[in-house]
Amino acid sequence: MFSPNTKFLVVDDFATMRKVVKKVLMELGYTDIHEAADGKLALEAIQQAKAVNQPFQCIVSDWNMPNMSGLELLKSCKADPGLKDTPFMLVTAESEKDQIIEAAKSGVSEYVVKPFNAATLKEKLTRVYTKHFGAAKAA
Amino acid sequence: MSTALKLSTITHPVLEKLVVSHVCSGIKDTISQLGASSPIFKTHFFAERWQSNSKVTVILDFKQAEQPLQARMHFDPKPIATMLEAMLGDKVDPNSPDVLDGVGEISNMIYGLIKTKANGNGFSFGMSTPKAYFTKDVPVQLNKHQSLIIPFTIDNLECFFELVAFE
Repeated sequence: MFSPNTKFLVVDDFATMRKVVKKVLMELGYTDIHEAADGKLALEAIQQAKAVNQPFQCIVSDWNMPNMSGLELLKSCKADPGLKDTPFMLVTAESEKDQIIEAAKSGVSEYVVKPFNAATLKEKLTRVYTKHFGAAKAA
Repeated sequence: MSTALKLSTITHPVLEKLVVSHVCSGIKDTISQLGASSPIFKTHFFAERWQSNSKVTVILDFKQAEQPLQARMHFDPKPIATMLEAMLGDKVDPNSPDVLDGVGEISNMIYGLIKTKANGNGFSFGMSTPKAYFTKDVPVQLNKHQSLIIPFTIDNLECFFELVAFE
């Protein structure tokens, strides 16, 4: 599982959902949690963090947002060699097969359907960690 | 021919019983998962220039095929505050601006589930970003439109799902 000092970025246009994700992450023991209100602001924050050599280590983003969607943000990260390996979880109210396939093709680490509970987010985070860093470290 | 008849399934296939069923199911499933009492649905009806007397309204613009539509969800703020309290673990004042942000997210979840259910049954509902308002501030819709209205109650408080079809 991710270490307790992992640097998270939570992206959602609704403050309520950012608070919910942050609350669950804090319940799981994480404290270094940052927020952005849409994909465009998130991309700026991600690039700034990378520039000062303090990159985000996991991004949890909503899909449906104004200015830049979560999928566009994911694609932008994947197109940047310095960001392409950052674990990226999409959180969405939709669970259509075509969408899940599109997200998978774009390189999403995990896909979480809202509403979710702490147990679901923990399970997904464990899977993200295993996917990126291997089963041995995840145990 | 009366205005109501224009809303029949012949002219607006999207306003079919199947859609009503998906809407009710999407509302019920989402609200139940969010810790509020299960909604009780009343008989749906069609209307033109219908006005909700609820306090908060969320609007989502979308298209079914090329037909421009709007989903409007009208809520009493009390059950919304109950759901937000369950989500956040903090007390929420039903009259605070936090309710507007929360009702936007809750409506996003409801519509996302309705869309998923409907699109698995031959429809092609699009998605949009929800806009939440105090109902008194909802922009007046000047384009000619007709609505399918599904009333429901949560803890005896009146709420409505309105599907608006523009001509």
